[in-house]
Amino acid sequence: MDSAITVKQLNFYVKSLLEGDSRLSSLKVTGEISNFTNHYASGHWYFTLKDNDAAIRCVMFKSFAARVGFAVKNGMQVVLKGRISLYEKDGQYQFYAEQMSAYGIGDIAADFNKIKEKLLAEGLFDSENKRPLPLYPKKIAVITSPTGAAVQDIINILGRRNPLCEVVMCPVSVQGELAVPEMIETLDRVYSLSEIDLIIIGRGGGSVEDLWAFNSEELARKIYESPIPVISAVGHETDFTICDFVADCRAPTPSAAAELAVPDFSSLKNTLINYNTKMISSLKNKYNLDSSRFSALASSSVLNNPENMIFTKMEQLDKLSDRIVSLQKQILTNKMAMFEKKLAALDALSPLKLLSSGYSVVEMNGKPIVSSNSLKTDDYIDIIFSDGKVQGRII
Amino acid sequence: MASKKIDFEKSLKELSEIVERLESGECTLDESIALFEKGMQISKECSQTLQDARQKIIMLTDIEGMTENNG
Repeated sequence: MDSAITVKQLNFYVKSLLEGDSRLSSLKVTGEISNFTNHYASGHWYFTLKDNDAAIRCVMFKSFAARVGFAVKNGMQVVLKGRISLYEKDGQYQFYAEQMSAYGIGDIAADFNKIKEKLLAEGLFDSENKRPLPLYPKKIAVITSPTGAAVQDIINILGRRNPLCEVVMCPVSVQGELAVPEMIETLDRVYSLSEIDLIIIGRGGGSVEDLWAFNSEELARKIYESPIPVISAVGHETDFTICDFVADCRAPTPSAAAELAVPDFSSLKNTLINYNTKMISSLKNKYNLDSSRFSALASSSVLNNPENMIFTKMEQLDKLSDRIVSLQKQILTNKMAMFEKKLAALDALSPLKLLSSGYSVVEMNGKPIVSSNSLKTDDYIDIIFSDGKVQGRII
Repeated sequence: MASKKIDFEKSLKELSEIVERLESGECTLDESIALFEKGMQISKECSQTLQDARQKIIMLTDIEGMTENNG
């Protein structure tokens, strides 16, 4: 076995091979610019040149860049002239551009805008179609690549925030030709499961072409059809895809999607503790209120000194009976006075009074004689005086 | 692990309603005590569920298999 060489030696060797190839030392290549960076310190340009199927990293040093006569933007279709070499520090082979000519806005960006405008016009992005996410999802379908950081981030964060929630892993390709059909097929399968209450679909960061599957019109329409709320989480915060627009919720990153998806476990614990405290204090309040009402009642003088009530009543009774007695007296006096008055009146009218002043009454057989004609000789009569009666005979 | 499976969302909602009723002070003391006991029971179950919770990860194919078997 040959002795091992160092990485540095390896990269140096490959670099010398690339630079030794005359065809690679001066060539023209066409493609679309993406991930364009004008390095703030050095002024060198770094970007990716791509088409639908492939991409290559490119560098354009400041001295060459200065000669480009137009503002370079992502999505531009350009022709580059330059050479191929290898950047030894990270083993990356790249295109060292020396000249650049423009072809106008690239196909991909044009496609993106076309799809975006079309779906926007159809109302697929309307905010009234966006559903709220479930507060306490029980099963979340995670549709993403089984490898890569995104899936780990999502699982870790879901697990840390809320282990109550089950994660249904749906491994798919997220880039390349299989990505769109696989994601559509997986979405269909997830839609047919009744117990899933939230879907997270996405991937970690990458170049614009890496994320391209998420700009697919078919995928966007499939997401729009979803009977279950969908969180789209594609790339980094600055990446926007068609899926992001059509989903119920856009998360800036896969980690953020996991955070948005479930309530924090510790906040649930706090909620419970809070509820317990509230219940205990409410019950205490209720008890205190009721017992203070009770003790107010219990301490009332009526219950504590019932004899007081009797004394009061006795006093009342005494007063009342006093009043009755005095009233009785008064009534009696009044009646007596009235009686005497009546008696006096009666007395004035009494025949006895007349008799006592010298008059007398003549009766015959118990009937008063009021006329001399009713008497004849030898009739026996009674003569009544005030002090008695005598008999007489008419002569 | 046969911990009682509760619907956490439903339980929390019920608990919050109980707390609300208790706080309103409109119930009699007897009702309040009954509500309190019920609330504490739910709270205990929820805490237990939280305490017992372990993240469960299943594959889409597994869940599809389970659904088929059940159906």
